[in-house]
Amino acid sequence: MRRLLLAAFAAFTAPALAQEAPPASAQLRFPQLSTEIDMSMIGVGTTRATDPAREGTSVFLFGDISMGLSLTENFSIQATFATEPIGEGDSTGGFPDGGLIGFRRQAVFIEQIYADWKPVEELHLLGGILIAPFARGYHDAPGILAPIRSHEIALIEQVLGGQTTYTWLDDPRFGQHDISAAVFTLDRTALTGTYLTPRSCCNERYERYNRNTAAQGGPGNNGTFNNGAIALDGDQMPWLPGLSYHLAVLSQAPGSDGTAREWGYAATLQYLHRWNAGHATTLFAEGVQFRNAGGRPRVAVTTAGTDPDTGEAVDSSTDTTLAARETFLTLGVQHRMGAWRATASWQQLQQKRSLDPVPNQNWFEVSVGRQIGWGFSLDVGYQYAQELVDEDSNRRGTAHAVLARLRYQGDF
Amino acid sequence: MHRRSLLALLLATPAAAQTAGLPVVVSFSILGDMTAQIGGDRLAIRVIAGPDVDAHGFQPRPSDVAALRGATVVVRNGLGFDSWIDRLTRSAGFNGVLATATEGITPRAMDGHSHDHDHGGGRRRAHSLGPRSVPDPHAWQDLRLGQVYLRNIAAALIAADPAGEAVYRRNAEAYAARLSALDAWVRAQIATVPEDRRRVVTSHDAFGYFAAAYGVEFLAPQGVSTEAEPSAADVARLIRQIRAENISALFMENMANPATLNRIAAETGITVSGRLFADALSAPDGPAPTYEAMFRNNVGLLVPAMRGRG
Repeated sequence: MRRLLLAAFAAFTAPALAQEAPPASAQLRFPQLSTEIDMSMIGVGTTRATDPAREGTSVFLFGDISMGLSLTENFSIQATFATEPIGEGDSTGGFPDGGLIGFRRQAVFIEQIYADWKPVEELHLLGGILIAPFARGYHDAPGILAPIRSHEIALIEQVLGGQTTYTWLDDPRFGQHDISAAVFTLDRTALTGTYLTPRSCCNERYERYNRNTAAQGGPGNNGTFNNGAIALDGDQMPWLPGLSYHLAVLSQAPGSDGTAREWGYAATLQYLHRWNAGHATTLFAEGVQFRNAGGRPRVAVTTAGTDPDTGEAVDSSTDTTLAARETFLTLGVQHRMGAWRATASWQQLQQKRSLDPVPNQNWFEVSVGRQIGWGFSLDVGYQYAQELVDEDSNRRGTAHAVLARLRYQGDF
Repeated sequence: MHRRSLLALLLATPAAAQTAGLPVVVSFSILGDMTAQIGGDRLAIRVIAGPDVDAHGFQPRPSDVAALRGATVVVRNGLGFDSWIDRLTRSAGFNGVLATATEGITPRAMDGHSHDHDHGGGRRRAHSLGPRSVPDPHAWQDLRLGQVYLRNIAAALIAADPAGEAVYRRNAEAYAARLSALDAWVRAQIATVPEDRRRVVTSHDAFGYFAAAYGVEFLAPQGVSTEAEPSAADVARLIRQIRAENISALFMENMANPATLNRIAAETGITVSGRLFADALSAPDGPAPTYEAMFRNNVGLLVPAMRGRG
């Protein structure tokens, strides 16, 4: 009936309604390639530290280039190429030892590459090499080094599998709420290679190798799709419109060096308050905990003793498992005033271990920065750290550092 | 006169509703006016995003769900402009007639990255990049396409209220004739501006259809954010652009600082004044309380600004 009415009405108004289709250059066409760059050059100048090796200046790149090839409005191929220092030691890729190190052990790698399909508005399906839906400090924690530290501790990347996100509640009275579930295994294909600084497994000075292998161990590195994450996310709740939350559980089976399943839990709250058009304050709080951290790995414990027959001093080695619980906390606040921003954050890493107990480590950071045009921004800050300085004695020391970050964010 | 009174009543508050008639909910003020012109007294219209309210990324309130519960017709723009009303219809369990005003229109493409994209907060999501170009939803900025809107709205009203068909047809025909005449007037006005001066710098990205229909080039201000007051360097860059491209028409709605506007005026010799209405009508006592008045206001500002000093 409605079609008939439409046809009848169209007929009497037709002369006035002739529509010219837009020229080809103005029409929507596929495929389309979108690119987004978020790249920072960061300088850390440690002026005073308990461990003299940490004094000096490190300069490194940290960031990513993301690309999306949209084949239709709802289907695309997504890829993220990341760069960061991959040396063990600290986030700067090593210690400057009183001097200046620049871009040391800098590597480039594929962080994720996946197919993205949105069959309906409420459902989002991903498949390929992904970042697991667990924690969000690596993307949202305010500060210069705070998100990098979250990245190192809580980011579960380069996992091969599938993820689905479903908006289970979307109501102006209650907000928008998603549930995400992912099943995966650590990717070991050639796509996990590192470039610029490729290192084969398993040099202790590096935290990432040229292609993941079973030999490097670690939770989730078992070649089986028996690892997963479930997350709840929500925002746009009318009683506190700037609030968003994230709750997640992660479970990863042990790799070749582990003996137990690792469990992870994450809880995040972020609140954005817009005072007016130019002023806004963001509060960020996140707690992440890993139980059986590292998959309760097997470790060799060497103990000094005396041979009862000869009376000579001898070392004996026994094989045991290391039970560890890691808790990582982040609190941050950022205030924006037009192009300016001021940020303060605190992070703490607690490690409860069955062997070699280690003290809590703390990082305090303050910074100010501003947009300087054409997508660039500049931040300068200060960090006071209480961190582990000696793996053997598990001694905690302090370090004072001046921070600077030149960041480019752009899309084209 | 009748039309003005009706609109004053309709647009007085975002929740404005008449007490009798077919209950109709429309997503934003321009559609509210079009629907009122076609339906007249037969409709009880509620506009969700009312006058001077930006429907981009609009956050519906819980009370809006209740408004949809009793509605017989819902009118939306479509093309992603007011997708929030789809969530409202789901929440309210709406099962009446849903009219998409842009149905049948071949959309233009527009830059999706600068449109409805907020990095300021929100829940965690996979970092997927959407298409760079998306359908431009601002089709009402071409008066000929505005007539497609009224056809779709009228068809929906007839489907929901067959008894009123004669009224809806008569009103729609008269309205279509007025829009045709207005379209001709706009073309005549633009024709008074030399072709090489039909260039405008504006922070709005809503004039793609207007540009294509009426031969005006809308340029983005270089280096100026649409979200914050520009810095001195931004303003200097903008002044260089105005000089280099010999532009005399500048509409910058995010510039509230008189000192900034005065500096641009002093250094370029152009006047920065007036407000273009793009995505919403003004309040009834403002310069653009109806769809037709919006065009008269915008063209009335654009034409002398483009003529400029020349």
